[in-house]
Amino acid sequence: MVLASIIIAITAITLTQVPSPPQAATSTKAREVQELREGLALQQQQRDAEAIAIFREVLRQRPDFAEAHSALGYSLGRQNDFAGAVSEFETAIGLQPTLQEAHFRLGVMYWLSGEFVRAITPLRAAVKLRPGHLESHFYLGRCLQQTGNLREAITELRRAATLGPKLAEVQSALGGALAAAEDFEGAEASLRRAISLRPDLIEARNQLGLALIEQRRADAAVTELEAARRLAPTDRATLHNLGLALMQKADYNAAIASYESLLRLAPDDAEAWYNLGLAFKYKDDFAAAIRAFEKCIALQPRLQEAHYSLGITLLQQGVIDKAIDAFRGAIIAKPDFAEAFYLLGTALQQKGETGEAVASFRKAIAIAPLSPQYHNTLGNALRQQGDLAAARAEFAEAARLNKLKTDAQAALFATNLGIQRLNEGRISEAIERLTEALRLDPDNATARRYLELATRRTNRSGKSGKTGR
Amino acid sequence: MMIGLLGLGAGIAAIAGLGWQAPEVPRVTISNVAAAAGLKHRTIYGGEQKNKYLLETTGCGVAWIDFDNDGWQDIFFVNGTRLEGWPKGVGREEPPISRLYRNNGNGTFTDVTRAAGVGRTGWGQGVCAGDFDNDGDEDLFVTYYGKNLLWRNNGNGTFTEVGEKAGVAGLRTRWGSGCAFIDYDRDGRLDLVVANYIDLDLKTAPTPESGPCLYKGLMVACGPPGLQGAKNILYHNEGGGLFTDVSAKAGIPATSGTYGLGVLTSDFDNDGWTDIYVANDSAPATLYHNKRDGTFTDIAAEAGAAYSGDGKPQAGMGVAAADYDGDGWLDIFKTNFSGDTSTLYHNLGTKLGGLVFDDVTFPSGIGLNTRWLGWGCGFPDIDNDGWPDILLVNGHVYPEVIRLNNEAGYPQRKVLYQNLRNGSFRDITEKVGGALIEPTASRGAAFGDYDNDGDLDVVINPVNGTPALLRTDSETGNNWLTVRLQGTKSNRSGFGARLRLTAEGRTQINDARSGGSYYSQNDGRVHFGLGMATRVTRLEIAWPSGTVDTYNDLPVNRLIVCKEGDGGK
Repeated sequence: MVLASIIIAITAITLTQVPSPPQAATSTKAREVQELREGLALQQQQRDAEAIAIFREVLRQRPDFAEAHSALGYSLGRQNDFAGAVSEFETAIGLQPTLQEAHFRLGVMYWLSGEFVRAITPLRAAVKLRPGHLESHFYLGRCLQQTGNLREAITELRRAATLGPKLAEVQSALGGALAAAEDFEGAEASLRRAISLRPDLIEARNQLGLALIEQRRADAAVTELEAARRLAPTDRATLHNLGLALMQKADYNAAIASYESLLRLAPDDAEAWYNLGLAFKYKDDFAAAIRAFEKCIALQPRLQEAHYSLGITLLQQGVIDKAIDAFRGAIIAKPDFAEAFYLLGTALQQKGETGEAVASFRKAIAIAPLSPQYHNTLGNALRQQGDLAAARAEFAEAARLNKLKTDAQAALFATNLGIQRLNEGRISEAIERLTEALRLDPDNATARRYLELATRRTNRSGKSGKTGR
Repeated sequence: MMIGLLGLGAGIAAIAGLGWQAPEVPRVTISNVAAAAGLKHRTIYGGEQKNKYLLETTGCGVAWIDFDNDGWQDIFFVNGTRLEGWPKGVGREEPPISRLYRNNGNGTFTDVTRAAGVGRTGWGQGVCAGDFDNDGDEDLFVTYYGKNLLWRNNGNGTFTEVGEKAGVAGLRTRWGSGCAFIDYDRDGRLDLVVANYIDLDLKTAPTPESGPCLYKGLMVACGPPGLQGAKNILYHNEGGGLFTDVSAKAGIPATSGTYGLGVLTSDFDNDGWTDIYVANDSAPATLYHNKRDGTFTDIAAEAGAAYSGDGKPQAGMGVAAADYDGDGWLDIFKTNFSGDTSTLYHNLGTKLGGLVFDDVTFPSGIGLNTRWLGWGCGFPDIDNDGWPDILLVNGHVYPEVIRLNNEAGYPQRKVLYQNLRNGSFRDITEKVGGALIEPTASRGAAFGDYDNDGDLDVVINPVNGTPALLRTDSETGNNWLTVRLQGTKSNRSGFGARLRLTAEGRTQINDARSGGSYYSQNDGRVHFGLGMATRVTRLEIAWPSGTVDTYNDLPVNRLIVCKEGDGGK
């Protein structure tokens, strides 16, 4: 809801700048231009129905009037006639490919209808035709972010932020993109700037809360999201995110309270039921967790996580048959759900259906071959079937994969300590740690880079030492 | 495991069909009498608010030991230190030292640490007791981050530290953890198994900030994953007060498990040779199968006792063994991290061609608790009904969690599971209440009958706190028998002996053992609850030497001393 109002506000600002008078070569044309202006005036007063009538009249007289098509498209869009709007913008572009506003509006129209990939082409054209048009950069950035092109998205949003440094919405969007790219420091700076510009910008507070959750800074996230809740006590996104932060903080009672508040506002919010179930499960209130998961599934049968968590909770209680049903539900919802195959296998094995369990473990491994626990459970099932040699092979593979994980962790510690020592000027210790990191994890690019740096520093100090002597 | 679960399920159904009812919550009272009993010292271990290294988190063990042979169980508490140390000087606080308390036989204890000469300071860890020199009194082995100590009991109320001389002190850089005396080769002398946790070098160890290491958003001590795991050690007792490190020859390093903590010794495959189970932190557990030729093989993975039922390594801490379902095979209970469950491995025996365990955590009812972070644990038959119950003590690893609004907190309550006699358990902690509910930052816990009244009590060594002594008082009217062993051909402590007791047509088994729980030593006497049985039909003791003693028609509610070779006389 908040987002939509931002979009309309920005687009409306654009419209006040759009009506550049066409080149009036004849008196007829001059009349049509005059009529177009009258329509635009009505449009500015939100009197779109009247404006549409005028634009249609203008176009009846002059069907190749590109600006009029664009103006008509805009009013149609505001009347929720997206198809009509798109058609008018496309006609305008066909008539006048350099008409930047038509490209821009077409892009925004696609954005509003969630067609982010289709929005990118007209928005790129809008940026190209009018470099420095803040809104075009802004929407292009947002669409690129939505399609996963974070690098370009951040470039466009940075450009928008440069053009409109006081626009909180732009700072907020930039912060969101930076957070998505895991540049949490940059994200936090942008989002805090957005909040300082507009303390009531709930979207920015939510983005900041999520960024802090990503960094596992649960206390700080709760602080931001509590502030957002005070500003907008019924904002659903805020209550969702606050619940997440409270769960991360292990404050399950408060998380439950947050989700229950949300569900009073939106009783059919399946994700809220799911998160409520998780909070109950974390505090070992299994009956309440199961009720919440079942409610979630009733509302959204395709939410695989709900089936999965329900299965785990039932398994934990030793309710094997129902757990099996739940895991099968998760697999129906997501046919490549490796964890669900693995736990289905575990439940089947507990029930004594070893053959089916083996098949399920093998499916899990086919999807995610690097999970050691899948190999262990397969090994157990094979041993149960009497195939000790195959079982041992699976146990050995699990042990190998576990070792890779612990070695990677050790390499991370050694790398970070090496960097710290390097920063402290303790070069030989840094080299020792970074070398150790590479021994444990030869693909560790960070360790390699810093080791090269440390070695260069050693060489430099060695050379300067010689010169000094 | 299919067979185990099907068997269990069928069993429940069959019993239910015959009108089986869950037993009532036993009429027992559990009170913390530590202060009144005179256990007032404070165990110091690492920073109280924040820990820089994992070294500050593991805490200390505790041992029941009748060091003066007066028939009353005395207590030895290991103690720790702090990173900043305890500078010496006039007016400064005395450094924390291990403590020995003599049982006065009237419910109170006297601190005899200084007279006994066992008051050492340092990063004390685990403790185990056993008569390693077969001189008739129990000795102590104490592990450290640093050199381990072997306290030889002089038989006159004092001890002499002989670790270096005996060859078991180890290296100064080693982090000894759980330990147990074990006569693995049945030569009549107690050998020694010592788990080691991490090869920790504080100069290169990551700190919470450098790691960086986060737990639920909090900066906490790093590890153990990412730190160099240490290798366990087996010392062979050569006699004459000397031990030899036989780890390599015995196959001890050949295990994928590392970060060893709790050590448990028992004969899991009923072949008469003691095996070794090690709870490893964040790694698969190790089950050293005794091959009867002086060597061991880690069979934990293929025996189904290395991982959780869903194939994941767990943060193993404490370990206990008992035949909880009366099928003649010793089962294993292991405590783990919070957010996980403790694990109950049901021993299916060797009928599948090799020793096999089945993780029955969930079907047995143990899997319902995930909030507690468990340490010391045992299978005390708390109500003497003849069915071992489970008690675990808890406390979070990280003191920083006090900043989380987490119900479990840093100090945590204990958990008591009642054995429902059908393969499942019920959490009765809140029903029994009392001292069980009191939150404690517990670590070591040892089970024993300190007041010789026939029910099992618990002593707990916390971190940065005073000990708890949980006295059990029972109104069940159930009977009991406690057996003290005295080996002659076998080791004097009788460790490794298998006891098989039959009363009213029901047979129970247990082993005499050293070590167990978390870093701790239980009462070396073997206790049996007998329910309403008024006579013990038969008690069979299979000694490690091969001698089998049999006692028939024994009276109940008493302690008996069984000397090897005297059976039936």
